[in-house]
Amino acid sequence: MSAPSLPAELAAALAALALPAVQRQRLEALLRQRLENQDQQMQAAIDKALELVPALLRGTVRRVLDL
Amino acid sequence: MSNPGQLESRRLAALLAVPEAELGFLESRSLSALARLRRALASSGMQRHRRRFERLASASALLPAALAARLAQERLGAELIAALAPFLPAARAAAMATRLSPAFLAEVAIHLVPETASELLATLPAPLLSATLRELLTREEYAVMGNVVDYLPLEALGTLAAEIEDPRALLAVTAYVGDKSRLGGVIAGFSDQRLIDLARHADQDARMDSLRALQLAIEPDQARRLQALLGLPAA
Repeated sequence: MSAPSLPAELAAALAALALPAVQRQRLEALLRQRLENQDQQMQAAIDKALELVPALLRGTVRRVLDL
Repeated sequence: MSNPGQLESRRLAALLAVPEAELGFLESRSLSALARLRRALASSGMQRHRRRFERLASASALLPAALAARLAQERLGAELIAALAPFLPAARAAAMATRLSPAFLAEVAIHLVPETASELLATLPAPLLSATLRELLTREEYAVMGNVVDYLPLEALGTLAAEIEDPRALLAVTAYVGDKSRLGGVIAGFSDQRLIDLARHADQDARMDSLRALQLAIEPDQARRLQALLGLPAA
């Protein structure tokens, strides 16, 4: 999977640092990698949490109804 | 105590999972630019996964707050909870927060984009804010503390400032406050001795510019008080 492009706000914040080219490129590469990792982590964690909600809800209903 | 540039570059290194030394070149950059980058990075995740966060917020509303808090802490972790918080009704997020440990809340605060959570920050009970602040102080997370000042209720600021006993820590937090005019009431609540101690440490640590910036931002009567007490120029 290719690293995502930087969102406009992040690209502008990077530009505002006014770094020399080598440092800017290094930081940009790290930011892109971070976004890619973040995408994978967020997607997996949120989807997993959503899968758990129905089971947790059933457990809650059983406790409330003393079943 | 690390200087602000070191703290910000250290925080970015942690977010980007690289050794601190690799981003040492950032220490000389402006604090505001570094903070802007960090906030942009934090909010980028929220925006990219907006739809998922909205679904999760709706789903968690079906659960009792205690259970939702446990789910969040055990399955999502601090960074995702910080991103989720703005999608929850403030009262709901506050109810969940009261069921999380101060240590965990400090982790959440580190990742929180405060401008997206102003309603939540205004809803959190004072003891919870204090406990989280003490945790952040221990971790020297002065940028986090300073950044949220703009979004906390004014009446909370005096109480929280009183908890920061170390003048150096207080100066460090102040350096990160965006709208320093909000600190007028805090200054009014300080004793003369406390202000004199603050100025002494500011002078020792070359932070008088922070104190001067504060003087220029607050109400005229408090600005004149600082002038008279600390020998600062007229505001």
